[in-house]
Amino acid sequence: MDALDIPLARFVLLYLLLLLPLYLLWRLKLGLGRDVLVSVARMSVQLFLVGIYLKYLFAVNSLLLNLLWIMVIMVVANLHILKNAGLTVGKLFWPTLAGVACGTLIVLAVFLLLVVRPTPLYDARYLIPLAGMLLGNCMNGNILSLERFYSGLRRNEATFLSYLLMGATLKEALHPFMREAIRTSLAPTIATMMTIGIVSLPGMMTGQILGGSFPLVAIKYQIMIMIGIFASLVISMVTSLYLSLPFTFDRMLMLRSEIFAGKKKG
Amino acid sequence: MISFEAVTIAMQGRILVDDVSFTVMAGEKVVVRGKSGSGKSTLLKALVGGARITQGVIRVNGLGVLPENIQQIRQDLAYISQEPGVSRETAAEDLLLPFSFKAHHGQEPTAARIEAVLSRLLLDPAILRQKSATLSGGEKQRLVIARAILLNKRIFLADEITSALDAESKDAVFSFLLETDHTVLSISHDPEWIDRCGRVFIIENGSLREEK
Repeated sequence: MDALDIPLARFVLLYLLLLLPLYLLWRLKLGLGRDVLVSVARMSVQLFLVGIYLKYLFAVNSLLLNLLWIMVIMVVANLHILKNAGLTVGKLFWPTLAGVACGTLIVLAVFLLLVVRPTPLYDARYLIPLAGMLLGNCMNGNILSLERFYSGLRRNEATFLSYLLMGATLKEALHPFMREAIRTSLAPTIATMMTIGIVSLPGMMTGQILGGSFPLVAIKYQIMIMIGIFASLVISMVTSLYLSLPFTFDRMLMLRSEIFAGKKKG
Repeated sequence: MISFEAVTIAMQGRILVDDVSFTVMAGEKVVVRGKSGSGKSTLLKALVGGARITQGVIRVNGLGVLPENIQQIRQDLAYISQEPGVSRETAAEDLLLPFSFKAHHGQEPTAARIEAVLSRLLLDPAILRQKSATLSGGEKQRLVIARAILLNKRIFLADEITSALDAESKDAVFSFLLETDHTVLSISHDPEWIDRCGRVFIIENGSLREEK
């Protein structure tokens, strides 16, 4: 059983669905019309291009090409993390890339080598979507944790300094800031796991059911992906935060202002 | 003893402290006054390693404020600010926070010592059961000073500490900081504090001179 294809004429109807929200936004004078149109256009073009590319990737199914694809999306995700966390790419590119890579590749290896075991193990049909799901979530979690951690430290420099003056090591002085950043970043994932299946049916599971999978098979994959997302999030956040420390503190154990992109502290 | 030897501090191309030299002997009470933005907070910040020194040397008890000495120097210094950092759930947790750090493991003060220190600062020991967030500005400041006493700090850096104090807190803080043998380097606009400090410096556009 395959999912029903959507003919082009009916596909266009989808875009007409946007007219109502665009009208409402226009009436509320929110000035979001242009942003919505650009983002919808970008989303459509990007997904069509990736669809074409994936078709090619699945047909060729080459280990080298698959790995190259994962490397490219990890670099893109990492640049997006640093930009959105307000941090400079020059100083932190490698430590955060290492964090993203650890979180994604460890979980991906468990998925492919131990749990799913497709043939071949690097089968693009499994490797690419699973890597994409993990990376997407890793990216959002890392943006939150890095932004919370470093902006929290910057705002509360006096508190941080008071810990050092009380004899705390750097690790001890950073612990409350790190705890806060990681707790905040994990909260959405934990909340999703609490309500999944009751309030919402997740996108991946819905997609698999629409694609013809049995619900029980779809559920197993969904559980796998939820556990994987949680594990990759924690691994990547902790790794990125710890690996970034040598680049973000000077020898006096003070935060370097030059790690922040854009405006300098006033 | 604290000494600033021809210290210049510049940040983002702006000179905040310009060729400043002075010495604070052990037990002396010194106040620096000046307009906001004149560089006085930068002096204290540089002393604890929080501002990069462009030229010159700052020494605390003979040790240069350098990466290799900074941990030892920080052990001697207590920093009391206008809004003292109390960040834990209860006042007791805040008071005993340093003893949760490896550096002070096994050095927890006895209940009798804690009570003696609190009463020295006119604080009721019952305050320890209170939520930190409910303490007044003066109580927070006295709690931070009590913490520094329990850590046997000898040098107090006080940054505009009198502005948030009520009369009772002021008496307690003044009598502790000004009438004991601790070294005090402060910045303040408070005429009473300035009057009671032994030496007064004024800082203008980063340059320092002694007033009395």
